[in-house]
Amino acid sequence: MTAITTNPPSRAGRAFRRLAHHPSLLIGSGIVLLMVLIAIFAPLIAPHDPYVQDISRRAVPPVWYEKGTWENILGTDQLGRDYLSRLIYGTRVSLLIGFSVVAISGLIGTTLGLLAGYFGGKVDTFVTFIVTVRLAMPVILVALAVVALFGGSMWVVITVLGLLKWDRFAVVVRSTTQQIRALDYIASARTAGASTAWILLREVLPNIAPQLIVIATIEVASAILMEAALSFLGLGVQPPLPSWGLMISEAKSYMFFSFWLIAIPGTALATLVFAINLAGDGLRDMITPERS
Amino acid sequence: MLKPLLSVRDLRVDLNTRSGVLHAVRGISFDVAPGETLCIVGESGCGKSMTSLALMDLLPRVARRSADEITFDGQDLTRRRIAGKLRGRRMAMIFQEPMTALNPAFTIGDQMVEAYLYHVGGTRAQAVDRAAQMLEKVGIGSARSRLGQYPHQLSGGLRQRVMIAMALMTDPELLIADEPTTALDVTIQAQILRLLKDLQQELGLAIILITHDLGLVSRIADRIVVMYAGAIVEEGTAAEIFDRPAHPYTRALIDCIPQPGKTERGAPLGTIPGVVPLLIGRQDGCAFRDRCSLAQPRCADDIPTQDAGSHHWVCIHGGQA
Amino acid sequence: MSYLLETVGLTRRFQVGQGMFKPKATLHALNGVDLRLKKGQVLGIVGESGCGKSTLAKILLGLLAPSEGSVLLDGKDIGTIGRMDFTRRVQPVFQDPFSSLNPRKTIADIVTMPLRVHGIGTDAERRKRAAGIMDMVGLPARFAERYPKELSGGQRQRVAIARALVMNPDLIICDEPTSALDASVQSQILNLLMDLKRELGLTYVFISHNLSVVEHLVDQVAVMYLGRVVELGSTAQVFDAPQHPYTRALLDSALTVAPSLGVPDIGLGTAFPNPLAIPPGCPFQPRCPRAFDLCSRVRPHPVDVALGGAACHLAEEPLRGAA
Ligand SMILES: Nc1ncnc2c1ncn2[C@@H]1O[C@H](COP(=O)(O)OP(=O)(O)OP(=O)(O)O)[C@@H](O)[C@H]1O
Ligand SMILES: Nc1ncnc2c1ncn2[C@@H]1O[C@H](COP(=O)(O)OP(=O)(O)O)[C@@H](O)[C@H]1O
Ligand code: SF4
Ligand code: SF4
Ligand SMILES: [Mg+2]
Ligand SMILES: [Mg+2]
Repeated sequence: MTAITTNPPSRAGRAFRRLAHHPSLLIGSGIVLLMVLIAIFAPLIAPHDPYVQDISRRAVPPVWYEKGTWENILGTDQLGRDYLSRLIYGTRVSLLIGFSVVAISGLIGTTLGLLAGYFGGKVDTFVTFIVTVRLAMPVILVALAVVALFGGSMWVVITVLGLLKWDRFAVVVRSTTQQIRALDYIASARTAGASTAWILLREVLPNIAPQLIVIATIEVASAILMEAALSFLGLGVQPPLPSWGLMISEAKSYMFFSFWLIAIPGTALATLVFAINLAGDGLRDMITPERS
Repeated sequence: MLKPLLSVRDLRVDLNTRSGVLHAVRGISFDVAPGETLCIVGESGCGKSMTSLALMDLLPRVARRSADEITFDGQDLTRRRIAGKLRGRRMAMIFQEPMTALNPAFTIGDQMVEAYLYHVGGTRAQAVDRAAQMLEKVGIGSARSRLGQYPHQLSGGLRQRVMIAMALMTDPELLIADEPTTALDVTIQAQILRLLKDLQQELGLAIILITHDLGLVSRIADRIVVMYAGAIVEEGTAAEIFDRPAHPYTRALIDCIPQPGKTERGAPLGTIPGVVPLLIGRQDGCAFRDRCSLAQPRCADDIPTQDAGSHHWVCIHGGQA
Repeated sequence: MSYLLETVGLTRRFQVGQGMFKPKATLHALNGVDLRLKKGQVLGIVGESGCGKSTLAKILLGLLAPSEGSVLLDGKDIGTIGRMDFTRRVQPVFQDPFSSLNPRKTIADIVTMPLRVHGIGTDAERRKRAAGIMDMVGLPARFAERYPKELSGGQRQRVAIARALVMNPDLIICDEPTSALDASVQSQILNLLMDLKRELGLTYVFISHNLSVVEHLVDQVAVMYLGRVVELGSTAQVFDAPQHPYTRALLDSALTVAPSLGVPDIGLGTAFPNPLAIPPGCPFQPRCPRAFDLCSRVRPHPVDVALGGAACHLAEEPLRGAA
C-alpha cells in the first residue's frame, strides 16, 4: 500500500511513540526503573547503616508521628536500626532475587520449550512429562523442604525458586515454537544450510521474545512475593540481611504497637509487584496487536 | 431488463481505523435481475468483500454503511427488521473459507436443520429430509450419513458443497458468493461452478459472484462489474468486458493473465506498475491515474461516465481502443 | 549424465493417526517418482491438492528424506553432497510470502541470511551483495531497513526470490510461487522469474495448480495424481495433445478467459481421491470417464522418464487411445 513509499521514522522514535500510547507501561516501568536505581545506589542513598543497632533508639516512629524525628524519617525497628535504610537495602534483596530467579528459570524453561517445540516427537514427550511432574509439586512446599534441609540463605532461595519456576516459560515457549516451526521462513533457513542452533537462536527466539518478556515480568513479581513469604516464615533470607519479607516477619509481634513496621515494607512490596505487573500488562498490550 | 431483484444505489462502507477513516466502498450502484449472474471482479482490497457483507448486513463492527437505496424485490433492506427477515431466507451467502462459516462444534446436519427450522419452520423430520435432499442435489452421495459428520471431517471441496446446500435450504432467490472456489482445486472448482449454474437454471436463482479470477468470470457471468479502489470503473456484459474492454484498468488486468492460445508461451506478460492506492481519505479524480498508461493531467478532475448501451465505464477516454 | 536434477523412484510414506484408538495408517504421498531436468530448463509439476507436489518439493530441497529412491544433482546423490554445498546450489521460493519471511528481521537481514549462514564475506560485502540482488529483483534500496509487514505481497515475494538468489544457486524450487498473489502482481513475479532465468541461466522446478501459468512458463510438464507421475512430456505434447484422461480433465477444468465456452462439464464424477485408500489397478480409475474392465485390475505401466507419455492403458496402445 501507499504507506510503503513514505519514509518510516527511526526505530527509537517509533518505539518511543508506541510507548507513549501505553501509559500503564510507562508508569510501571518508571517505578521499576526507580527501584532498580535505588537498589544500585543504596549505599549512597541510605541515610544510615542498615545493620547498626542503637538500643537507645528502639521503635522510634516515622516523622509524621508526634514522636518521630527527621533523624530517622521512617523511624527505627525494634533493634533501633534505621528503617528507611533497611527498606532501601531491602530493595536490593527483592530485585536481586526476582531477577536472578527468572534468569535461571527463564533459561531452563526456554531451552526445554524450544527443544520440545522444535523437535517434537520423543523430545516433546519427555519435556511434557517433566513439566507435568514439575506441576505436580507445590513450589512453596518444596521450597520449604529444601530450605529446611539446607538452611536458609539468599542463594538457596534463588537456586530453589529458579529450579522450580520454569514451567510457565516451558509451556508457552513450546507451543509458540511449534507454531513458528511450521512457517516457511524456518524452512528457508534450513534450505540455506542453517544449523538447528542458528535456527533456534536467530530465527525462532526473536519471535518468542515478546511472550518471554511478558512471562518474565509475571515471574519476577511472583518470585519476589515468594521470597517475602519464605522470609516471613523464617525460611528465606536470614537476619540481619534486610529483606522486605523478613522485615514484615520481624515486625509481626509488634503489629499492634508499631503498625508502621509492617505497613512500610508491605507497601513497598505491593508497589513493586504492582509496578512490575503494570509494566508486563503494558508490554503485552504493546506487543500483541499486530496491526499494520 | 427485467424488474431488478436487487437494486443498490450509492452504497458506501466506511471503516474506522487508527490512521483515519478508510472508505472501502465509495458509492457504488448496480442492479441484479432475477435469474442473472452478476460478477464483481477486482484485485484484493478493492472492496469486494465489504460490498457483499454490506448487502447481507454482516459488516464488522468498525464499519459503517450508508446507501441511497438497497432494495430487494421492492423491500427496503436498509431497515433492519426487513433485512433480518429476508437474510438467510430469500437471500443467502456463501463465504470464501467454508471452515469459518461452519460451526466446528455441530454436525452439518444440525446446522442445516436449525437454520431451516428458524427461517421456514415445520417439523424436524421435514427439515432433515430437506437437508438430505439438498446434499444429494449438490452431488454428495450417502447424504443421510453425511448429515452426522462434523465440518472438519470433510474435505475442502465437500465443505464448500455443504455450504452451498445449506445456503439453498430455504430456496432463496439471491445467492451471494464471495470467492466461493478460490481455495479449491481446478477440477473441484469446475464441478462446483457447474453445479451452481445447473441449480441456477433449475431454481431461477440470481447469483452475485465475487472473485478476482478473470477466467472464472468470463465463463460464468451474465454481467460484470469491475471494481478498483472501492469504486466501479466498468460495467457490462461478459462479451462487452472481454471482447471490448474499455477502461484502461480492465484492459491491463486482462493482459496480466497468460491466455493459452493467445499469449505466446514464454513471452513477457502485461503488468500494472505501482500498487493499489490506500483507501484512507478522499480520492479526487481517477484513482487509477498513477498506474495508468493513458493518464492525462485532466484525470485529476472529475471523470465522466462513458455509455455505450448497457456498457459503462468511468474514464476520460470514450473510444473503445 | 547431462541432467542437472534427476529423481529415481522417489517414494515417501507418512504414518498418520486416524483417531485415538485406531492403528496408524500408511499414506503414500509419493510413489516411485522418476524425473529428469536439464540445466536451463523449467520443469512444471501440476496436479490436484494432496497429490504430493509439496512433498516432492521438500524432498528436492533436502527438507524431507525420501522413504525410498534418491535425488541426484549433477549425477551425484544429494546424500553424498555436503549439506553446505547442496544448500548453496538449490534454493526455494515458497507459496505464502507472509510466512516465508521472518517478521522480526529487516529485509537486508533476510536477504543476507544465507551468506551469514555460510560465513561468506564481511558485513559490508554482504550488504553490497544484497543491494545488488535487491536491485536485480526490482526492490528499491530503501527497503533494506524495512520489516516484512511494511511490504505488499508481491514485494515480499521479491524478497524471497532475492534471498534464494543471493548464493548464486543453480536450481530453484518454486512451490506455488504466485498462488497467493493477485493477477497483476502474479504477472510481475512471473516476468521476473523468466528474466532471471535468462540472465542467470537458472533451472526451475515450478509447482503450480494454475495450468495457464504452467503452460506459459515451463519446458517440461509432469502431471501428478495420488503420488505418481501420470503424464510427462514437453509443454507442447502435454498441453496440445494430452494422453492421460486425467490430464485432459485438468486442462478442461482450467477456466481460461473464454466467455463463449461457459463452465465445462469435466465428467470426473464426485469421487474424491483418497491417498489412504488408493485403489488397485489404475489409481484414477474411480473417477476416469474412460475406464474399462482392465483398469480396476491392472495398474498401467509407469511413465518412462526417458520417453515421456502417460501411465494409462489407453495410451499404451495409441490406436485404442484414439477410440
Ligand atoms: N507431515 C505429513 N504427515 C502426514 N501426511 C502428510 C504430511 N505431509 C504431507 N502429507 C500428505 O501427503 C499428501 C501429499 O501432500 P502434499 O503437501 O505434497 O500435497 P500438494 O500436492 O502439495 O497439495 P497442495 O496443492 O494442497 O499444496 C497429502 O495427502 C498430505 O495430506
Ligand atoms: N475489519 C477491517 N478493519 C479495517 N479495514 C478493513 C477491515 N476489513 C477490510 N478492511 C479494508 O477494506 C478494504 C476492502 O476490503 P475487502 O472488501 O475485504 O477487499 P476484497 O476486495 O479483497 O474483498 C481493504 O483496504 C481492507 O484492508
Ligand atoms: S481517467 Fe485517466 S487515469 Fe483514469 S483510467 Fe481513464 S485515462 Fe487512465
Ligand atoms: S488406465 Fe483406465 S482408468 Fe486409468 S486413466 Fe487410463 S483409462 Fe482411465
Ligand atoms: Mg475478499
Ligand atoms: Mg502444496
